[in-house]
Amino acid sequence: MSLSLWLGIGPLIPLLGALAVGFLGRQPNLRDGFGAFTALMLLLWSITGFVQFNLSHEALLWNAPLIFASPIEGIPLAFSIEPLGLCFALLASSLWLITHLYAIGYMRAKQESHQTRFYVAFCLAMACLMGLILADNLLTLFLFYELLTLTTYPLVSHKGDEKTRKNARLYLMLLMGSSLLLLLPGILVFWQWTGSLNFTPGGLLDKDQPGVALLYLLFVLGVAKAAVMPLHRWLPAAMVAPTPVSALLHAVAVVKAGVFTLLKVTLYLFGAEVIHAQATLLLWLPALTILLASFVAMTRDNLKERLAYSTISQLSYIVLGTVLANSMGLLGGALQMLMHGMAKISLFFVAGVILIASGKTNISELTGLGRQMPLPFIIFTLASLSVIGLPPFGGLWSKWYLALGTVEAGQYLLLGVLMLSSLLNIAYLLSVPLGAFRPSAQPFALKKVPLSCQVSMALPALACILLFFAAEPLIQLLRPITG
Amino acid sequence: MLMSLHLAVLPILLPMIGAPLAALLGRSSWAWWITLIISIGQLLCFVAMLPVVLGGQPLDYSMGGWAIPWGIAYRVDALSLFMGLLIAAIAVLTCVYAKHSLRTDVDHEKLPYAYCCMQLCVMGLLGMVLTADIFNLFVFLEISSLATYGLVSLGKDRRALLAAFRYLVTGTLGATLFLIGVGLAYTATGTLNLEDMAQKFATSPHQRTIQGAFAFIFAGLVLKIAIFPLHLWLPTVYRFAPSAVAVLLAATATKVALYVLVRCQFGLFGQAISASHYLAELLLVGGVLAMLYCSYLALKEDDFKGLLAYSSLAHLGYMLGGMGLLSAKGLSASLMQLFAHTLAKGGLFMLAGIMVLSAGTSKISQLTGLAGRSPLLFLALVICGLSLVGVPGTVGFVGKWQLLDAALTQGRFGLVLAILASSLMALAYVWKILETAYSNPQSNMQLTVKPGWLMPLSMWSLTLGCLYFGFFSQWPWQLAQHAATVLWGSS
Repeated sequence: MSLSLWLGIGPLIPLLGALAVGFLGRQPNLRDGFGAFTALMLLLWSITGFVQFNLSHEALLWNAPLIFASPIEGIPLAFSIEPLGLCFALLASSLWLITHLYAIGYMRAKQESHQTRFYVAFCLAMACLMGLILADNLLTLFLFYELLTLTTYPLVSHKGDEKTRKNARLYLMLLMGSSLLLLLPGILVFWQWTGSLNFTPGGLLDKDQPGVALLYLLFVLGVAKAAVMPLHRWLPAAMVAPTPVSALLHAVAVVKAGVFTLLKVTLYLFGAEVIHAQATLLLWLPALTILLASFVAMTRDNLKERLAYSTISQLSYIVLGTVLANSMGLLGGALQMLMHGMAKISLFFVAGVILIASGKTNISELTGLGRQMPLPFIIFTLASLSVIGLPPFGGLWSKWYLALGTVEAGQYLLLGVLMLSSLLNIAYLLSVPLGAFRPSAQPFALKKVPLSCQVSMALPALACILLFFAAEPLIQLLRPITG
Repeated sequence: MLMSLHLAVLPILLPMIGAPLAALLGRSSWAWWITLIISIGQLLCFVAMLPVVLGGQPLDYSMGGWAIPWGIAYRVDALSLFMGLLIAAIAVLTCVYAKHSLRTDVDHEKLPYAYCCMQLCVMGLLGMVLTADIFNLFVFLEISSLATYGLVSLGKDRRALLAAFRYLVTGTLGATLFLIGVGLAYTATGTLNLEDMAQKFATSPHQRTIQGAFAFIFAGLVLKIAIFPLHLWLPTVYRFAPSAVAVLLAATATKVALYVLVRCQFGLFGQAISASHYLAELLLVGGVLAMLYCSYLALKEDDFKGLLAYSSLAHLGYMLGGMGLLSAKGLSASLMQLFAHTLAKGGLFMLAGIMVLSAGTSKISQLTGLAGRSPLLFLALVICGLSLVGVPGTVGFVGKWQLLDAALTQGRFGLVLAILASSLMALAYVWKILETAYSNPQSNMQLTVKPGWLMPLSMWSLTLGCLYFGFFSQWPWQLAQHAATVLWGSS
C-alpha cells in the first residue's frame, strides 16, 4: 500500500463508519456490529502502518505528505506520519475496539437513550483524532484539535439534563476558548518568526531566539487538552459523560491528543534543544500540577472524579518530560502517553462496571463490594500498580525514564516531586480496592454485568503486564525522534 | 463584441428595464422571474469582466461616449470586481430565497413592488461599486437607500415602520453630509471624476477645503456603515425588515458603504489625508470599540436576528481595524474578512428567516430542539456559526487569520488582543444559540410551515461556501490582495 493512500484512508475509515452507523440507527444489532467492524478496520489500518513503515525507522517518513487543501497561502492542510503518531494511532485504535465492545454492553445495560447519536459522535471523534495524529503541520493539527472538541461535545452532554449541559458548556468553553485565545496567537507568532508551520525533525527555531519561553507558555496553556493547571477544570467536568466516553476519550484520546500536540510542537517546531535550554522555568507548571492534582484526587469521593484528577496529575508527567526536553525525558513522556492510557482506561472500565452492577459512584459506598465481586477490584489493583509505576507493569518504564530525565537535567527537586507523587498515587488509588475488600454490614443487591464489559475491562490491564516485557520495540521506535 | 464593450454598465441598465417591468406587470410570479433573470444577468456580467480585469488593466467606460473628465465614467478595477461579484452573487441567492420568504412576509398586492425595490436596491449598490464619478456615486447611494426604506417598511410587524423611519432619518442625514463633502471637493477641484479629482487634490491650493470635504464624507459614510457609536438604527432594521430584505442588507448594504469609505479614503483623498496618524488611530479605536462593545451586546441579546445584527456590527469592527492598519496587507485582510462575514451572516439570516417562517418569532428560545426536528438546518447553523467565530475549516478562520497576521506584522498588539477577545465572545454568543438548538425540547414542536426547497437551497449555497472557502481560499484571497494592491498603488 502506498503511503499517501494509507494516509488518506486513516481518517476516512471512522468517517465512513459514522455515516454507516447513522444509517443503521434503526437496527441496533447491525449498527453496533458495524461499529465494531469499523474499529477493527481502523486497528488493521494502524497495524498495517506499523508493519509497513516500521521497517525503515531510520528514514522517517517526512518526504511524502498528502496535501488535501490550502486554506492559507503557504500553509497547506496535509497528512504525514512519524513514529510518535504511529504509536498513538496504534494505541487509540486498539483501545477503540475494546471500548466499543465495552460500550455495547454498557449502553444496553444502562438503557441509555440516543445510542445512535452516541456511536456516530464516537466515530466522528475518532476520525478527528486520526486527522490530528496524521497532521503534517501545525495548522492541520489545529483544525483537527478544534474539531475533536466539537465532536466530543455531544458525547459529554449525552445525558442532556441541566447539570450535564452546564458541565458540557464548561468543557467546550474552556477547551475552545483557550485554543482561540492562547494557542491561535501562539501559532501565528510562530508563523511570523519562522515562516513555516511544517513539522520538521530538529525544529525550526534558532537557538538564541529571544522570547521562546513566553511563546512556549502560550502553547502549554493554550493546549488545554493537556490539562495543565490552571486550565484543567474541563476534565473533571467531562466526567458527566457515559463511562465509555470517559474511558476512551478522557483518559486516552482527547487528553493524549493534548500532550501529543505539545510533544510534536516541542520536537518538530521549537526543537528539543531550544526548549531544553530556554524553558526551564516552565517546568514548575507541570510539577505543581502533578502534586496539586494528586492532593485534590485524594479529597474526591466520586470515583470517576478521582480518576479524572489522577489523569490530570499523570498527564503532567508527560508535559514535564516534554518541557525537560532531554532524550530521557522525551522518551519517558512518549512512553507515559501509551502506558498511562492503557492503565487508566482499565480503571475507568472498572468504575463503569461498578456503576452497572451496584449503581454506586462514590468510593465511600463501596465498602465490602470487593468481597461480592472481586474481579473488578483485582483489575483495578493491577491497573493502579501500573499507574503508580511498579514492576511488572508497563508503567514502570515511563516513570523510570522520566526519573532518569530529571537526573540527567540535574533537577533533583523534580525527582523528589515524582517520588512524592508516586506515594500519593498509592494513597488515592489503592485505597479504593482496599476499602472495597473490607467487610461490610449488609450485602449489595447486584445487577448482572454484561460479559463484553468484563472482558474488555480485563484486556488493557493484562496489556499493561505485557508492555512491561515488550517495551523494547516501542523504545526502539521512539529512540530516533527523542534523540 | 458590442456587448462586451458595455459590460461595465450593463449591471446598471438591466434593472432599469427590469424594475419598472416587475412593478407594472403586477403579477408576483412574473416579477420574481424578472428579478431572478436580471440578477443572474448582472452576475454573468461580472464573471465576464473577471479575465479582463485580472489581466491587470481596469475596464473603463464613458457614459454616452463623453470623454472622461466631462462625462460620467465607469471604472471596473479589481476592488470593484471583488465587491461586484459578491453583491451580484448574494443578489441571485436572495432572489431565490425571496420567492417563498416574501410571500409570507409581505402583503400579496405589494409583492411586485417589493421585487421592483429589490432590483433598484441592488442596482444602487452595484452602481456605487462601478462608478468612477463621485456625484454619480451619491445618486446611486440615494437610489439604494430609498429602495431600502421601502423594502424595510414592507415588514408585517408594525415596528418595521418605525425602523424604516429611523433608517430614513439616519440615512438621509448621512447622505446629506456626504453630499456636502462632495460639494466642497467640487469647489476645490472643479471636477467630479474620482481619478481627476485625486490628481487635482495634490496640487490644489485649497487644502483646508479638501480636509473639510473629507471630514463630511467620512462622517456621512460612518453613519451609513453603522460604525459604533453611530449604529443604533441598524439592529431594529435587521430585526423587523422582511427576512429576505434582512439577508440582502446584512450581506451587502453596509459593506458597500464600507467600500465607498475605502475608495474615498485610500483612492480619492490619497495618503495626504488618509494616512495621517490621527485617522488611522480613529479607525483602529472605533474598530476595537465596535468589536468589544457590540459583541457584548450580542451576548446579552435574546432575539436571534437582533443578535446577528450586533454580531454584524462587531464584525464591521474587524474590517475597520484592518483598514486602520494602513497597509496593503491589512486592507486585503479586511476584504477577506468582509467576504467571510458576507457568507456566514447571509447564511445565518437566511436560516433566521426559515425559523421565523415556522415559529412566528425570532426569539432564540424558539430554536429549542431544532437539532432533533431538522438536523440539516442545525448543521447549517453550526457551520455558519462557527465561521462567525472563526474556527478553522471555515472561511471565517481564513479572514481572522489574515487579519491577525497583518496586525502582528505591524506590531498592533492591541488590535490582536481585541480580535481575540471578540472572537471569544463570538464563541460565547454563537454557543448560546447552538446549545439552545441542540437541547431537547420540552414540548415536541413541529415545523408548522414547510420552507419549501428554494429557501434551504440558497441558505445551503452560502453555508457550503463557508466550508469550501475555509479549505480552498485561493481565489477570494488573491482577488482581495489584487484589489488592495491596486488601490495602494494608486494613492
